[in-house]
Amino acid sequence: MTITHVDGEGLKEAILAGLANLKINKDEVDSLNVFPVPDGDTGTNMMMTLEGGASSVAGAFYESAGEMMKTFSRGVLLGARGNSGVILSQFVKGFAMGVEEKKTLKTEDFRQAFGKGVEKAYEAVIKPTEGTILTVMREGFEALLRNCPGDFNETISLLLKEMRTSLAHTPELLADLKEAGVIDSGGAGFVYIFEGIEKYMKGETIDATENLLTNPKDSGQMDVSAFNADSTLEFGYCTEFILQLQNAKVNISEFDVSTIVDYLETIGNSIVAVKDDDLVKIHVHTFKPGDVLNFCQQFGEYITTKIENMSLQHNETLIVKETKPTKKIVKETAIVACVTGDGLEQYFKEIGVDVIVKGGQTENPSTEDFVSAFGKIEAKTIIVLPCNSNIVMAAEQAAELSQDAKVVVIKAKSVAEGYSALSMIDSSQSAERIIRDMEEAIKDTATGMITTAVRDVDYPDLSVKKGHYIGLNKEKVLSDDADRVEAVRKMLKNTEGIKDKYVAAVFYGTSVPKDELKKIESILQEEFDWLEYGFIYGGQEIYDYIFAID
Amino acid sequence: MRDFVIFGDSTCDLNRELREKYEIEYVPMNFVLDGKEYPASLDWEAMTAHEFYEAMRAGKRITTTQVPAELYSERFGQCAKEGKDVLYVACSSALSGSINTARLVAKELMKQNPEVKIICVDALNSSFGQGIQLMWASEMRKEGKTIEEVEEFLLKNRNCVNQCGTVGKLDYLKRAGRVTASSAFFGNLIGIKPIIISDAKGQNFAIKKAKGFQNALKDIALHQKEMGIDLKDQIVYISHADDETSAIALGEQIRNETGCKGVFLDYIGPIVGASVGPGTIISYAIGKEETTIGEV
Repeated sequence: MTITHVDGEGLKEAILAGLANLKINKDEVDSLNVFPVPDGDTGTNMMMTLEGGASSVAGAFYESAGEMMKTFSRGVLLGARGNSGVILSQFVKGFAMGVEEKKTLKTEDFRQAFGKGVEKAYEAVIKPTEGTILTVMREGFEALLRNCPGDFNETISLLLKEMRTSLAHTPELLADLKEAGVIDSGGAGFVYIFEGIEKYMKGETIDATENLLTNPKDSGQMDVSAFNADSTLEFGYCTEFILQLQNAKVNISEFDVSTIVDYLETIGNSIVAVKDDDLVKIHVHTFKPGDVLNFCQQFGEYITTKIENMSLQHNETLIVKETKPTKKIVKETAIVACVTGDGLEQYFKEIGVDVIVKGGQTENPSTEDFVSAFGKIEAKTIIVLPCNSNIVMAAEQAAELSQDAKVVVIKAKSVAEGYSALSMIDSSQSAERIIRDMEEAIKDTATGMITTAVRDVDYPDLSVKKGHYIGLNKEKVLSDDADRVEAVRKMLKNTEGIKDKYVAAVFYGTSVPKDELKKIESILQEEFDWLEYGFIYGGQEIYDYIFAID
Repeated sequence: MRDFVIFGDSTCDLNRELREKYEIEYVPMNFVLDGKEYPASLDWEAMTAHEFYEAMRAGKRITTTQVPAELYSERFGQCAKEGKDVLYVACSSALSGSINTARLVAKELMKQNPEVKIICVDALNSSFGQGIQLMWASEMRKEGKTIEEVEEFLLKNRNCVNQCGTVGKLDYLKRAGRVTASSAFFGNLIGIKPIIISDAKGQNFAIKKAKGFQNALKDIALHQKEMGIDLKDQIVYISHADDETSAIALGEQIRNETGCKGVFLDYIGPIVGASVGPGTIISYAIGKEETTIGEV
């Protein structure tokens, strides 16, 4: 079948099919991690990024492709997490810009928009690296430039063919991939999305589609036996909606979302409220959803709504992990850091962090998670410590969305660097001084982390065995041993410049028994006797030890 | 011209030899260990400096008390009786309330003996920062300067004695509340050393942090180099709380960095020692006027 035109609904369905196909293959994409560590999550991140868009267009009917993409891209932007997710969100943004005025798309329009997407994606990265998702999308676009048939089926096939070839070549362009024996994960995710789109164009159905949307249509699938004629409403309703602010009702640019939050606080909890231009996205747990809807309707009209009885089990994909509403933190300069682990969270707060953004163990925080963290703060300057290289871009994207405060993202790419930055500041100082001190502090910080290898890898000078303990810094694997203490010892030995270091702060995770710390201590005393050291309970999972070496 | 007696107190850290050489008297404060009160002797009579700091290392809590009013009355009164004036160069008022007591006593004594002058100068410093000012006063007295001239000189130059040091553990200072910095500064940080100066108001103020002890020594030496004037002609004074090795290392570092003429080392006395804790090392040199004021 030849497809020459795609309208809003068609494009939406096609993208949702792409998402569905990514979802089916996400575990495989996750496993394409350069490091054999268990936190590889590119597939999950890209999927959740697109789901942000999917929820935003769910339940609505779009005649115009441009209109659909506008809403979709905004959702994607907020849902973006992980570096590949942020790059993908920028691609979607560029694509949306490319189709802005168009109701239906011809393949030629598609090509143009795709090109705009590639351009935006490249712009999102300060130093674009080839051999990544960027290369894959760019080479795909170049193929379209050479040949763009009028039929979408043919066009997508051409594009996919080129992108698959490009993906296979990524290890040639990026030594890290070659060493690890994998292809680029972001690129693979991108290809899976377009495979889903191809299947949709050909009329094939993809099984995962049904589970994708958090829209009212899904309600039919839930088990309702938990609530019957005699039940009492114990937990209230999980109420979520996207409200389109209306010029006829409010002054949109000046509308403060706290107007809604203040009201919600009187009748609910677990409140998440985000304003993005003329849209307001709300999540609240309340016993009176009707009152909420009536109240908010004075500011606009609903784009989507979802009300679910919380006595029943639900898939609350829209929920940003959030607890009770808190009073805003008011200060001149506030610090936001992303760490996970009860010890680390508490300790980072002790040494100066105002708001912790949690990143689940296999789930990086989204742009929206950062935006909502910023929402808890009233400060002139907000300093962000991502503490993970894969979180830097989502934090930066959130920083750009921030309107109230100047947000500065410090490129702390590990927990160790985050700690080092915090340890050297006096948080009562000016923002400029804090930023300078932090940047200075992390310059010489060496990171050392211990985890368990999830697959065998042969590096030129080191063989990693699945199930062994491995030590790594931000860039590479430094040690491998069946014994964890030995893996620590070798890692420290292989830490560059350790002889010129003075201090080691050791954060240990939940799986480390106390007597093992004694062994680590004797290693430090006997073989690294010039280092001052100390142990701090971090409570992190995945990484049994995190060393901050200065 | 009337003769005058120069007094310091327990925080001036001048040992017997120096006090005799410069003819300096001192009024002791007191410290309490295990419920027993001891005079804070600069000659370590009740216990040695090492024993004192070992007690702190063992977790013993040592508290301190100001110079009692009766003691000021007795010592200054004796001078008045002998027809001598008194110049008291006191421990920074930001660290001890003793000078306030001394001023009240002085007022009372001068009322009773209108011909006597008792002048109390706030050193805005402690340890050798106060000791150096006492030695200045003594030398000026030897040159025949009047008590007023000495007072004027000290008031003008007291902030030119620059303190810079670091502590073994932050806990003591924090507990004693004798340093200015935000609470986050004092988190439980491994190997992070605060660099502490005495600010223009005489309060200890943490100006920055250093990663590890070696970096702290470097930072202290660089601070003295930056603040110092004519260091080549100076002896730099270093006081320490039972860590001579570190004090020597700091002396070396400062000597290398500034080319100073020499380094003088001695213990930090019990009063300052009780609030900074074992392992503290502090250097003192003369240079530019300290204008920084730490905010709480």
